[in-house]
Amino acid sequence: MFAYLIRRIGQSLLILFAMSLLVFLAVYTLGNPVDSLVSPDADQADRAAVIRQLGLDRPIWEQYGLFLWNALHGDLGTSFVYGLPAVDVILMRLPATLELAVMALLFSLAIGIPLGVLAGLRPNSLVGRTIMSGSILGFSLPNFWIGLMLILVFAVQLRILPSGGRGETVSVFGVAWAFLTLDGLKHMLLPAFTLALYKSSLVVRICEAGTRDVMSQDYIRFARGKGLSPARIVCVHILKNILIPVVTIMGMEFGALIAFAVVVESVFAYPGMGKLLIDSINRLDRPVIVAYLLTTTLIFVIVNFAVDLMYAALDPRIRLSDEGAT
Amino acid sequence: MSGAPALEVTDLSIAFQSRHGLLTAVHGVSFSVGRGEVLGLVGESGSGKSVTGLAVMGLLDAAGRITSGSVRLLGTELVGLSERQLRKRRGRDISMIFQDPSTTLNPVLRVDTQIIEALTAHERLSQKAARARAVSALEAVGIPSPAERLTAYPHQFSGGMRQRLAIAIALLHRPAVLIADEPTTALDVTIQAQVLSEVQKLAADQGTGLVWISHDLSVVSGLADRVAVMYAGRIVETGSVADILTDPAHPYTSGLIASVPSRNRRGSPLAQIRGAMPSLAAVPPGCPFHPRCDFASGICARAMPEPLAFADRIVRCHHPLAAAARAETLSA
Repeated sequence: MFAYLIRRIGQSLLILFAMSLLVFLAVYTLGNPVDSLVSPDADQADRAAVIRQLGLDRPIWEQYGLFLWNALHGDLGTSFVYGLPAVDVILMRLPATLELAVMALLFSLAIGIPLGVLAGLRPNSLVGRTIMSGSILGFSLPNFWIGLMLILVFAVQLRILPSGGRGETVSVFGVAWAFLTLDGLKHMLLPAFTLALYKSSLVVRICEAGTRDVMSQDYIRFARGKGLSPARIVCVHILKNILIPVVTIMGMEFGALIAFAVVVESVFAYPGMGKLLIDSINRLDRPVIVAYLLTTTLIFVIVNFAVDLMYAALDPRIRLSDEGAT
Repeated sequence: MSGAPALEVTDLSIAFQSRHGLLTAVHGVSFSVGRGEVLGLVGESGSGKSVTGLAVMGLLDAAGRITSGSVRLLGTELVGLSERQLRKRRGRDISMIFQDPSTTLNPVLRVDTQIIEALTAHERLSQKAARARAVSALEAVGIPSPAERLTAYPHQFSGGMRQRLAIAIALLHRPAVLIADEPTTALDVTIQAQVLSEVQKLAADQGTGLVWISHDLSVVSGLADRVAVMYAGRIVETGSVADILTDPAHPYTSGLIASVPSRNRRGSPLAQIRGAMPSLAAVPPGCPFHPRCDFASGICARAMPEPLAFADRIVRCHHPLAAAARAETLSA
């Protein structure tokens, strides 16, 4: 277990290092930040001064070394737009996106698991087929369009839910959370559902395939032969088996939820990290873009680590040892 | 003990919905098992023996159903009972164990969970009492240090131990009937013998009637009181194990006996029945065994032989071998 942890942390650090290199190359070396920082009528001497000040006259490995050194000290530069450290700007927006993603994850599980299991139990029935066809729809409808349609129906026509924004927040441990207020939850409902729709289709398909597979196993026959109730067979014998792939895939997809949030946050004018990223790209706020990418990577790494631990908790055949680490 | 046998199956037919329409897998099968009695149900793969076992339990797949006949458990008709009513009998009055012990136990649930849920499905008892019953059940099937092993997962047991677990679970409520679907086939030979005698002893002690489904006549011969031989969904011969082994009346039975490897015939080529079991969709007309039979004549291809009873045996053949022929001449 200890060896596994060490190895796993080593892997995570490697991923972060590789990502920092990519981000640096993509953002710091493409294009010339000087153009956007120096006024067009500045003379050559002014430009040279700025270049020297930013360290752009040094060799690229030295620039990267400096970037990495600062990054290790939690300094990813200062936002051009907000005049604050980029990391602080991201962290201010992070809770909004996190709670949106978690809410979307809960939605997709709450919708996907029951429907998927039901479809798997009755694969040839009308209900089963309807669910499976519906999941294809959920896969193929574009996120932003669903968001717009939901706004149209619930905010414009029915006027029961707000069309955008984050609503009221309460401060807990110095962080503003919206999920603790009714107004905040109302604001979160539509964007979270929009985000969840695609994921719930995915969960439906995993659960359907898993249920059909597990249903044909001898141990389900044996369990029925013991005289167990259908509820016990579905909720304990089937569910615990199909949760393993669900946890794995949803863990990986949690990162994608945060990434997809970019589109949904824009549609719903939701003040999260994704919207911040779009705004920053429009304003060429490079430090914020870098901070966003590295934060997202860090979240991916942490979530995957957590998934591995949950995986071991769900499946007793998996031991977190050196051989078992995948 | 009451007059009714533990399990009495009469004229049971089972069909499956398939792409080729409704295919009948089992035709009018009848057999009975008394308390403490052992019936061997023997046949090649595809003969319908496992399907018969599942149908008796009411555990057929969604595609399969009982089309006619009756299954009486301790005198009560099971065919036509609702799933809820069947569930009350399953595990309590009738149990089943399966071939592959590595797939019979749920891999993600602890052993104690799987035993205790089987107990509480039919009895109200405290967690503590259930645990005590679980320990003694494991003890009874010869699992060492049962109290510690209770919290283990199935994959931490060997194949033989897993089958013992399944047997322990199946026998928790001292059922009147245990259907054993080739439970020793997947085990090592030495373990096979142990598990075999374990089940036999437990069933005899509890007065459980045993239906032992197997393709292996040599296993059944040491275990069963009576044998029913199945071919292509029909019982072609039944009788006591001694009669059937020493004096088979159906050419198929005699072929099965001849294909058991024996030390006495070392060096000589192993006898085998030519051809293969027909598929459900292409069962030959008349006696389904006639294309593989050495004694087949014109009538075999045209008409299905009627069951012929003599002494306490039944055989379904136009040209029964020695014993039946003798019986016929006697009665003539």
